Amino acid sequence: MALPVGDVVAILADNLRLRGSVLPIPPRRATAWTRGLGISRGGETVLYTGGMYQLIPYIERLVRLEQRLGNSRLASLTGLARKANRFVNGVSLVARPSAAECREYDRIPANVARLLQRAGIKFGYLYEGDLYSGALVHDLGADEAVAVHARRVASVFRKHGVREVITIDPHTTNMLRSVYPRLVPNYHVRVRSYLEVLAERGLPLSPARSDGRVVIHDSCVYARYEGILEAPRRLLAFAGLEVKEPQLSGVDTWCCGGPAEALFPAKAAGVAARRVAQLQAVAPDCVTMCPICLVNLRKAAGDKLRLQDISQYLVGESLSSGGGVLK
Amino acid sequence: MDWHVTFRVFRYKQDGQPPGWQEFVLEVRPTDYVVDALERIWAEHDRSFIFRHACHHAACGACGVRINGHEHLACNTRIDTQVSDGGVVTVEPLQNLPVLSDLVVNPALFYERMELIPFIGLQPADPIIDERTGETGLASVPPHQFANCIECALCFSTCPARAVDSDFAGPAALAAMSQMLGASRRDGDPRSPLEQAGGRNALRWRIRAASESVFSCLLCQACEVCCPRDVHITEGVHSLRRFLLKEGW
Repeated sequence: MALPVGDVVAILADNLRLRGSVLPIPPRRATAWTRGLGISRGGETVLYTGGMYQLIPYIERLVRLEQRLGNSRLASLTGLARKANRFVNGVSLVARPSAAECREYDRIPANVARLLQRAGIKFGYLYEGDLYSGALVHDLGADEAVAVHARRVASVFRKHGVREVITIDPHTTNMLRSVYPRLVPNYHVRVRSYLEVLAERGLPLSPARSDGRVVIHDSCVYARYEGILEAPRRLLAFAGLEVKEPQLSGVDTWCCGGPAEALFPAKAAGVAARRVAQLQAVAPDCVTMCPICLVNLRKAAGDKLRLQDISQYLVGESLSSGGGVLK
Repeated sequence: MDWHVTFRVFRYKQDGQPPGWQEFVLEVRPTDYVVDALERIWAEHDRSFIFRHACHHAACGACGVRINGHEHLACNTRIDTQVSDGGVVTVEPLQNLPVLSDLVVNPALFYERMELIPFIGLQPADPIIDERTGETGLASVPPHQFANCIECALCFSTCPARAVDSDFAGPAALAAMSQMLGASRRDGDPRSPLEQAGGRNALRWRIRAASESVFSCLLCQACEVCCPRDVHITEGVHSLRRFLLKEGW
């Protein structure tokens, strides 16, 4: 059984409106990945994470809770939780991932930053101004909350004089590049994925030490909404990897199921299981390029398929240890 | 110059025998269409081979199949877009619908989902009045709207949400619903198809009844990639979600 959709969407929209994110986490936690990287504050070009990878451990906790609640009589209290959430940040009460879980996903923005630094690209970071893009609330149809939030993000860009944004995930890329221009008057920020930026410059690393075959899972949003297909393939090939294509790849890719995760976890798991079977048929190692794909496919894969974010492959560290951080 | 291409087609009869594949090697022109090859298999090799087709120009939606693992109309898919000389083209029936025989599926499930909607047929959303005669006419059908749909069911076949949920309405039905929603805002004419189909309240209740489908769409756009009429289905899903949230669902 799923939780009441209207209440769940309202909680997410209220969080975006009141706290700047669908799942408000402390700014210190969201920016912990920057430690030791020496990234300056602000600048004309900024790296923008939208908190997506940092949110994943919290999403995992919440979905587990949602699955338990959805199967119990407590589901009927979701409306009450919706009202209480307006006054108390419910996420901070119910979702507390361990430090190890957070580190696992903090590695990814850190690796992206190091890859860009190695490529000689000058960029800053907005720290507490690195707000969630509003992608999930936009997908669910709560447009008014998204429009207000988009203007808030655009005003942060204006305040810091940001002219170009480098994104690290497909959902933030799509929101900032294709959705915000429809919502924010005079929005003229250039938005590119770090994959596009690195592919244009050439990967500044020696070939990856992991020289095996990998099957590629295209994100629906990168492939079909944003047309980002060649950049990840070029970068993986440059890193010395043999990229194998599943039958459904590129613009014909098959969804990871993640977009249904917030409301219908069982359906999301069913779609993910089918995708894992398609990928597993091609190679035992799989590269993803979206935090939602990564977490949803990992859950479905168990030990049948090893999944890593593309940044982990590009840093060229041994993947057998679970992926490394570029030094 | 002619090519030699192997057509590997799905075979199934309701005779208790298990389904399987059969290969036919044909000499074809690269610019021939897959439906041409299917017709020649029937005419020259096996009169028991069953497939559906009618218009031959992507207007009727009858010849939807999966070609090399992807949903296409056989009548507008050129062989040289799928294979080179000496290669293999696989042709199989659509997914998510029961197979009746060979490449023919039973589309009843698809149409049942379409019938959930108080349906306006293929009339455009915006009636226009001819200023010269004062008569009501029909505007040209805007691009990307459901009015262009030919009900080929390719979207139903490719949809991951439908693959795991037999109650899911399917992309075409959601697009149809969203177009009716648009029409309901503009059209108060009692002669309108909407009013004849029960009016706004009927539509409202139908959309509410389909709300789980509206929210379990993955917005993955797999349907839009294979749609031969370029209907922007996910935009319609967005508008349905906005409607349901405003309705307090």
